[in-house]
Amino acid sequence: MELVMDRLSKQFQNKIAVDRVSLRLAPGVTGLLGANGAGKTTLMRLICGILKPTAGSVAFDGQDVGTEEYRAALGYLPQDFGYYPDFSGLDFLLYMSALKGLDRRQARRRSLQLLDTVGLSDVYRRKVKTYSGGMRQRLGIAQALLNDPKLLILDEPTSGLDPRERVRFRELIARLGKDSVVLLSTHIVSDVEHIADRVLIMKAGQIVHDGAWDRHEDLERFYLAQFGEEEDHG
Amino acid sequence: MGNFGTLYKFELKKLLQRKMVWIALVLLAAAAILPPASSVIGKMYISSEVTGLENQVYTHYELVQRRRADPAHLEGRKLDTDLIQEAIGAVGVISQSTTEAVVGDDNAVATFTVRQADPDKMGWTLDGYTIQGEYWDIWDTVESMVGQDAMTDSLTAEDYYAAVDADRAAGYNVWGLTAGERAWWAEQAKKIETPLPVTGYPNGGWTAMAETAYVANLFIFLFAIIALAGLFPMERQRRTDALIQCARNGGAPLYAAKLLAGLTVSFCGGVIILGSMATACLILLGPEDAATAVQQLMNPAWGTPMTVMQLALILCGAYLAASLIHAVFVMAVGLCTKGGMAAMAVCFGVMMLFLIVYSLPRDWRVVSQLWSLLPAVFGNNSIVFDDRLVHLGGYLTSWQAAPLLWLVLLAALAALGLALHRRVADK
Repeated sequence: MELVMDRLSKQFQNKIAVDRVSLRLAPGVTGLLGANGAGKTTLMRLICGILKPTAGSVAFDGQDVGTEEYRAALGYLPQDFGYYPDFSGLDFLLYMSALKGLDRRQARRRSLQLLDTVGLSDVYRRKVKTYSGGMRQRLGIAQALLNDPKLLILDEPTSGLDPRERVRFRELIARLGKDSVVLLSTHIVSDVEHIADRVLIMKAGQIVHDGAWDRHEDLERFYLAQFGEEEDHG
Repeated sequence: MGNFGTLYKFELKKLLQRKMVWIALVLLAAAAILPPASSVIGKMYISSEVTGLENQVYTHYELVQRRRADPAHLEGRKLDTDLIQEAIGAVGVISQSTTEAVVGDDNAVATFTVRQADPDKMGWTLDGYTIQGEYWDIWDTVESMVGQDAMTDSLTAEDYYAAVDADRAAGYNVWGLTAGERAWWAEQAKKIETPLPVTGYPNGGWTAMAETAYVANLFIFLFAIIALAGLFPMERQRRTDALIQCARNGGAPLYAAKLLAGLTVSFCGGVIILGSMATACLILLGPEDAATAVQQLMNPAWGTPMTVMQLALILCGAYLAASLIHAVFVMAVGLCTKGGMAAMAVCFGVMMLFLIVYSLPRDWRVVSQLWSLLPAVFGNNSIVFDDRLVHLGGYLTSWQAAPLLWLVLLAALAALGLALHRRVADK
């Protein structure tokens, strides 16, 4: 089980958002750090097939990003997670299940199970527009897990969650990383510090650091040093 | 496609949860009642100064009901020399009469004068004063073919039917029909019974329905624009497009579910809008004119043997089919513009274009004929009687050919929509 990116690039008019990124990601949690505009979200959207690369390729277990098999293995939580305000929490998950190709019985069982996992089981009949920001984020995480994905792309999954929920979700993501390839992007360095087996740091569309993380080291200091370097050069 | 039913159900739910859809439907269904209702809104009054009687005020609804209840003197008659002469004589009585009553009408621009006529000859009257004689429609139909100067006591049925034939032939020249088409129409015209059987109450609900169905067609188009312009762009506005694009069924299956949901809403909207118009027509004006020939009232020279009820039903059926084309067109524009408001603006502009340019010069035979068959133009009063035929093995009339063209349009627009949906997904 491996996600392979080969010289993946994306250019928007004069701006190169992702610049010849080549990576191989094995099962486990990979943290993706970078300043705003570094290209993290663009890279994730390329991996999810939402954006077409200017050059390069993405494949998971030999399946190209455009194939149905690839999509069947994919779970994605976008940074700006959209929802249908008049759907109930359960309706939203049932709809997403249908989009992901789950059959009706399986969809209901899995939806209820995930609503319980993300702590929304007592409000699943309420309309999503009545949910708080944190509850919506939890619903977003639930939809990403509906198809039991082997490739999970999470863009800022813990933003909007309270500290207690964040810890709970870090544990959940760490568990998922045992059997799946999880790529986690966040601004919160401590999230990555706690759960990532491997850390990627992006700057100006390129991967400037790629390595396993020794949890005894201070990632935040290391991360800031990466960007301080640029300021020194500048 | 195992999830198609679920996707369809949720797409339908998304559409029906929007308040704007319901508000538009209620308003348009109510507006569709207005054309038939306008016939019974208002009052008519006869001043006492002239008649010497008390002021008489009647609602139009009351007048219509009186007319419906009045014995149909002409029922079972035929448009022959006797009837033509009776009509000429009856209308003549009006002009020869000396007693005048000032009749005011809320719906008229100005007060007008109607002369007293012989109640026995004029059929239904209002307390001795003729408001509208039952011969009037016959007189008007005959006069439209032969001209007012010919409306004399020497006019015969043969003169009238000769004038109808001449008018029909002149129409064929105007339409630029081929020899084959003329021959086909000549065969059709033989099926029209001569002398034409007439009905006693010709101007009722079915006639009103045939005359106003086109307005309902525009309302259905407007409803499709309001309800469906945002169906595809809404995903982008709500930022759910990313979830859809990376989902397994986010491509063709979702497109098909959205398309079917849009078609369902548009069709049901069409049923409600047309239904309210038809119900109002039949309740307010009555269904008694069902068997009236189109030639008695609407177009004496039309070459097709058809009653006004048949014509009304054909138009209603055609407009229900057109609701599907409107829907698929609006959805394709939504995919093209990627914005609900932009799609609405473009579609509204197209609707206005069809309203203004409802026909093209007949010299451009193919283009103007195709134009006249487009759903937003079809049935626009003069176009419903388009005599140009479509040659597909045999000859097809405009209302027979239009659904075939619409089927092709539906398939082409649906395919275009799918390509646009995929293009958005592959951006």
